[in-house]
Amino acid sequence: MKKMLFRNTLRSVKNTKSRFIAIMAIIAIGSGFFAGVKSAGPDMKLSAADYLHKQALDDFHIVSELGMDDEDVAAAEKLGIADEIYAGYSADLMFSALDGAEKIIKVYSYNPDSGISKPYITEGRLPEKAGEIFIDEKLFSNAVAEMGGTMSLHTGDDRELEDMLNSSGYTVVGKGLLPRYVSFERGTTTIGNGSIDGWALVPEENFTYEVYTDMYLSIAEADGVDPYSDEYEDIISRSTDILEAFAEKQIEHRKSVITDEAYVEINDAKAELEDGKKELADAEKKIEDGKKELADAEKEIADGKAQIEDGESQIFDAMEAFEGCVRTEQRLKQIISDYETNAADSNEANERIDELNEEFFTVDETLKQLLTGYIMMPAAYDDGTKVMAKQGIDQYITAIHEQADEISLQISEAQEEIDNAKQELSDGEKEIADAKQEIADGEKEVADAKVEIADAEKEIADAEAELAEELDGAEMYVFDRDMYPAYANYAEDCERVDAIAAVFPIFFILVAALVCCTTMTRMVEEQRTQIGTLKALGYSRFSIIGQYIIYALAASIPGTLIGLLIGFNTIPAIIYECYHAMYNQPYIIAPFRWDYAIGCAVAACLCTGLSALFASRQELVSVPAQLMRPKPPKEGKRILLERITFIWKHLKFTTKVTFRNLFRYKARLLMTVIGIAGCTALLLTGYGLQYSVTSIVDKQYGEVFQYDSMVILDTNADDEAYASVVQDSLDTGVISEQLFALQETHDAANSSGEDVETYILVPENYAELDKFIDLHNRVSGETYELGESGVIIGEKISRMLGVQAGDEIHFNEGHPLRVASVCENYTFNYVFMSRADYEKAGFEDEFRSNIILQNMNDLSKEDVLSTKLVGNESVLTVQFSSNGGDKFRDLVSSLSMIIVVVIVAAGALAFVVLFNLSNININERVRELATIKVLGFYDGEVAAYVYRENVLLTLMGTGAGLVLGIFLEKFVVHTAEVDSVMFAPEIPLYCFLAAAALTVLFAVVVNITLYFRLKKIDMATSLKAIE
Amino acid sequence: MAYVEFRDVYKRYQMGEVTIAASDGVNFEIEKGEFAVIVGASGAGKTTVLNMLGGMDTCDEGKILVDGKDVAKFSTKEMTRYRRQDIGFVFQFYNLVQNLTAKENVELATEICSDAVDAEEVLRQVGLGERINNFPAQLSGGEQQRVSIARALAKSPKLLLCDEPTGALDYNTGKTILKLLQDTCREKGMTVVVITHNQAITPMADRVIKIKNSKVSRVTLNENPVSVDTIEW
Repeated sequence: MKKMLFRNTLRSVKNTKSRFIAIMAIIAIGSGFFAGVKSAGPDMKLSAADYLHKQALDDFHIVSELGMDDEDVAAAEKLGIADEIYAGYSADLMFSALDGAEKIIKVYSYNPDSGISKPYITEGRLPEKAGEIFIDEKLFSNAVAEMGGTMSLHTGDDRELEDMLNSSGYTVVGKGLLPRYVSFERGTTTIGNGSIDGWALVPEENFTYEVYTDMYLSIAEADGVDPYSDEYEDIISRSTDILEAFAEKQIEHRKSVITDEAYVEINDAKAELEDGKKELADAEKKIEDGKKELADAEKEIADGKAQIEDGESQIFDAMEAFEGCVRTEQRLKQIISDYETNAADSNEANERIDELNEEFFTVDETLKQLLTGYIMMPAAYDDGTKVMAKQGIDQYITAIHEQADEISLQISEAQEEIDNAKQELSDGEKEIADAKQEIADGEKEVADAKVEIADAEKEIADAEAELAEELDGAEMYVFDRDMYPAYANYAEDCERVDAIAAVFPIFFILVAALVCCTTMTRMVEEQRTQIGTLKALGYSRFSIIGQYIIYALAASIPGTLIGLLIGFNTIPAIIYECYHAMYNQPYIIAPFRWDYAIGCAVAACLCTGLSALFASRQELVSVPAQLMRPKPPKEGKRILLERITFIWKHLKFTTKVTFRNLFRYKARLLMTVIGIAGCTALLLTGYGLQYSVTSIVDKQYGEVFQYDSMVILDTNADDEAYASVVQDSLDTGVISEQLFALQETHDAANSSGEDVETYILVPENYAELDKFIDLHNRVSGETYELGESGVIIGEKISRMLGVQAGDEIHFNEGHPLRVASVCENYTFNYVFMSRADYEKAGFEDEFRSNIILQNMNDLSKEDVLSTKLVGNESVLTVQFSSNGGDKFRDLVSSLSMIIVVVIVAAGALAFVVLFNLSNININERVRELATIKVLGFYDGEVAAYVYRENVLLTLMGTGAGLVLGIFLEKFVVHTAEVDSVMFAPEIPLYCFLAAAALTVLFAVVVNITLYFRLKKIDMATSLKAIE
Repeated sequence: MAYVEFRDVYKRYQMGEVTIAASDGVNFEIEKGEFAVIVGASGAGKTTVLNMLGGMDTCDEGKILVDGKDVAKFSTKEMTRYRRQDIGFVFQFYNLVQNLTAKENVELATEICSDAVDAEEVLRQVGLGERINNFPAQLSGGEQQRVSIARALAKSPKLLLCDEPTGALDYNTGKTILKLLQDTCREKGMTVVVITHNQAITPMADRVIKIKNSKVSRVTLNENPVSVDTIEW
C-alpha cells in the first residue's frame, strides 16, 4: 500500500471517529458477548475440574452395610485400578449451634497422610491432633459455630457415642470446603429432621469403630482426565463394573467374617449349653442315686431299729437271767447259811431241800445233786466229804456269780452298743432329712436349669436368625461422583449455560455484522468522489479496496480484542457469581481461550472486511468520471400507500412525508427493522426464557401436584410398618388425606423404539389420585381422571416420543399401554397409571407402594410431621411440596441471573444498533435536514421530522421482533431444556410488553441523544455543493 | 430608515491562533421592494453576510435591522421564527427534498407558515402548473430551481434571499430564473437579495452592494435597471 494512501486511511479513522468507534463497539459487544457466554460453560467446567483435581476428589466411594476391614482394603488395592485408597469412618451426629438450635452434622475421619479428597481450607488449619475439628464453611455462614470454639457432639438418639467416637468435645481449628460437596446440599440422614446441615473432619484416632465405614478410591487412569469428558465417563463405567464385582465379592467376605465372629460366640454358647445339659443329666443322676441311697439308708435305719429292739429285748432277757442268778446266789447263800446255822436239823434240811426243790431243782440238776449231797449228807460223813460238798456248792455259787457278772457285763456292753446304735440311728435320720432337702433342692435346680437351657437355646436360635437376617440383605455400595449431592447438576448447569450460549451470541454476531455492513456501505458511499479521484490518479482497485479493508480491520481487530478481554474476564465471572450462590466452587478460572478468540477475530474481520468489499463493489467497477460526478440523488417515488387514495388523502402532510421517506431507502429500512427486531427478539427471548424457567416450579407444585407432602417409604418394611407410618402421620393431626402409591423410574418407549426416562406413578387406588395430583390439559384446562385402563403421560413425553392420546407406549418391551391423555407436567416425565395397567405392563416387580402422598390441613406444621416421621424406621424421607422444588428453584434462580446478563447485553446491543443506524440516517440526510432548518423548522420540528421515521421503524422492528422472538424463544427454551424438564412453553403477555417497552425505551434514549446531534447540524451545510 | 440595514456588523472566526474577520464592519441598506445584488469574489465574505441576513448565523458585533427589528439580537427561537415567517431562501443547488413532489416540496414550507400562499398557485406562478406532481428527479435544473423559488415565495416572505441562484444552471436557464426573480420583485413588490459572484448581472439590480475583503467596498444604485433579457455574459 502506498504511503499516502495509508496515511489517508489513518486520517479517515481520525476524521470519522464516531463511525470507527461504532464499528469497534459493535464488534466488541458482539465478540465479547459471544466469547464470554460461550466460554462461561467451559470455564465453569474447567474451574470445577481444576478444583476437583487439586483437591483430588475420589472417583469412587464405597460404603458397606457391614463395614469394611483391612482385607477389603487390601483386596481393593489388589484390583490395581486405584492409585490411592483411603478407608475411613463417618458418623451422622448432632450438636448444638451457637444459637441453641440442634444441627445435624456428618463427621468424617481425617488422615493427613491421605492425599484423596483433600479439604479446601478457607480459614484456619486442618486438625493435627485428636480432639480438633475442621468444619464446613456452611456452618459458619449460619453462625452455627465459631473458630476456636468447642463443639459438643452427641448422637441424638439411642446410639452410643462411644461406639463411634472416643470423645464428644472438639475444638474448631478451621473451616473450608470438601470437594465432594459440590453444592450447598449436604444430603440426608436418618436422624433428626433428616437433613444434614454440614460436615466436619476429626482425626482418625478419635474414631472408635471396629471396621471402616467408607472407602474412597482414586482411579489411576482417571488422574488428570477432565471429569466432564467422555473419556472420564468411559473410565468410570469400566471401573464401576470392576468395583461392583469387587463389592459383590467383598460383601461375601464381610458376611463370612461376621458370621465367623458371630459363630464363635454362638458356638461358645452352644458348648456351654451342652455342658449345662450334661451337668443337668449328672445332677439328675446324682439325685436318683441319692434317692436310692436314701432308700437304702432308710432301710438300714429300719433294720437298725429292729436290731436295737432285739438287743433291748436280749438285754431284758439278760437282765432277767442276771437277776435270776443274783437271786439264786443270794438264796443259795441264805440257804447255805441257814443250813449251817441249823445244821443238825435234818428235817429242816429236808424242808429246805423241798424248798430248794421248788426253787431250783427244776432248774438245775447239778445244783440239786450238789445241794442234796450237801444237805442230805448226814453229818456223819466226815467233814471231809462235807467240805467237799460245800466246796462244790460254793463253786457253783461262784459260778453263778460269775455268770451274773458276765451277764451284767454283757448287758452293759449291749446297752452301750444299743446307745451307739441309737446315736447312729438318729444321725442317720438327720442325714436322711438333709439328703431329702438336698434332693428337693437339686430337683428345683434341675428344673431351673432346664428353663435356662430352654432360654439359652432360644437365644442361640434368635442370634442365628438375626445374623442371617443381617447378612441376608447386606450390600456394599459403589458410588461414583454423580452420587455426591448435586455433583451431576453442576455439569448439567454448565451444559445449560452452553445451550443458551449457543443461540444468543450467534444472533449477536449477526446483528453486529448487519450494523457493520450498513456502516461500511455508508462510508464507501460518502467517499465516492475520493474513490473516483484515486482511480483517476491511477491507483489499483486493490489499493483502494485495501483502504476500506484496513479501516474495517483497524476497527474490528482492536474491537475484538477489547470485546474478548472484557468478555472472557467478566461474563464467565458473572455467571460464576450467579452459580456461586448454589455451588461450592471456590474460584473461577477464566483463561483467554485462543480458539474462541481466533474464531471471533476471524468472524469479525470477515464480517467487516466483506461488508467493505460488498459496499464498495459498485464503486469499484464504475469509471472515475462516473464517480467524480455527484451520485444522482435517489429518485423520489410514489409508494404503494398513495394508490390507496382514501387513506392517503386523509393523512397529514408530515405523515405522508414520513411514509415516503421510510420507503425510499428500503435497504436501510430493512436493516433497521431487522436490527431492532433482533434486539426485541433477544429481549423477548430473555424474558420469555426467564418466565419459562422460573414459573415451572410454581406451576408443577402449585397447579399439578396438589399434595403437600410425600413420604418415601423403606420398601424393606412390611405392611404393618407401612400402616404405622400412616398412623404416625395421623397422630400428628396435621394430615387430612393419604394415598399409597408406587413411584419408580422406567424407560418408556414408543412403537418405533425411541425411549425416554420416565417416572411412573401408580396410586394404590386410582380413583383417589385426583385429590393429590391435578391432571389436566395445559391449554384447555380440561381435567383428566385416571381410569383403570389407559395411562396419562406428561406433555414432555408426548413431545419426545411423539405419542398422543390414543397411541401406545410400552416399558421394557412389555405389554403396550394405551395413552388416555396428555397432561400438563413440567418436572420429570411422569406417567400416571392404574395398578391394573401396571400389572399388565409386565414390570419385573409386583406392585408395592413406596410412597405416601399426603394432604395437610395445616401447612405451618411441616416440622411436626417431619420430626414424627423421621423417627419411624420405615420412612426414608419426607418431602414437602412447599420446598419440593428446591432443587429446581435453585436452578431457576441461577438461570434467571444468566438471563439478566442476556437482557443487559441485548439492551446494549439494541442501543448500539439504534444509535448507529440513526446516526447513519442523519449523516445521509444532513443536507435535507439543514435545508428544512433554513426553511424555518424549529428544533423540535426538525427532530419530529426524523423521529416520526424512527418511531415507525422502531414500531415495525419491535413488531417484527416480537414475532421473531416467539420463534427464537421457543428454540432457546427447547435447547436449554433438559430431558427431565419441560419449561413452560407459553410466553405470557408481560414478556411481550417488557421486550417492547425496553426496545422503545432504548429508542427513546437514542432519540434523545439524537436531538442534540440534530441541533448541532450547521445550516450552512445546505449551501455547500453536493459531494 | 431602510427596510434592511447592516450597521457595523462584525463576524469573526477563530482559526487556531488567528482570528479571521469574515465580516469586518459591514454597512449597507436595502429599501423595501428593491432588487438588490450582493456581489463579490469567492471568499470576499458575501456568504457570511447572507447567513447573517438569513438568520442562519449570528453576528459578533453591530446591528442587522430587518423591517425595524434587530435580527442580531434574536434568540435561537426568534431566529427560527424569523426564517420561518420572514425569509424565503433560494439555494444554489435547489435543496429540494428528493422524496417529495414539486407541490409537496412547496407544501413543506407552507405547512409551517401562518400566512402561506396556496402551493399549486405559486407553482403556477413560477410556470410549473403542469408539473406539480413530479419528483425533483423528473425535473430539469431550471425547473427544480423554480420549485425552490416557489417554495420560498409560498411563505410570502419579507425577504427573498437567493444564494447564487444560477450557479448550477446553464446560461439560458439561469437567465430565465433571474427573470423570474426580477419579475417577482417587480410584480409583487418583493424585496429580493441575490448573492452572486457574477458581475455581469449587476445592471439588472436596483442596488448593487459590492463586497471585498469582508467589507462593503461600494454600493451602487441603478436609476434604471435593465431587463435580464438585455444582459449577456
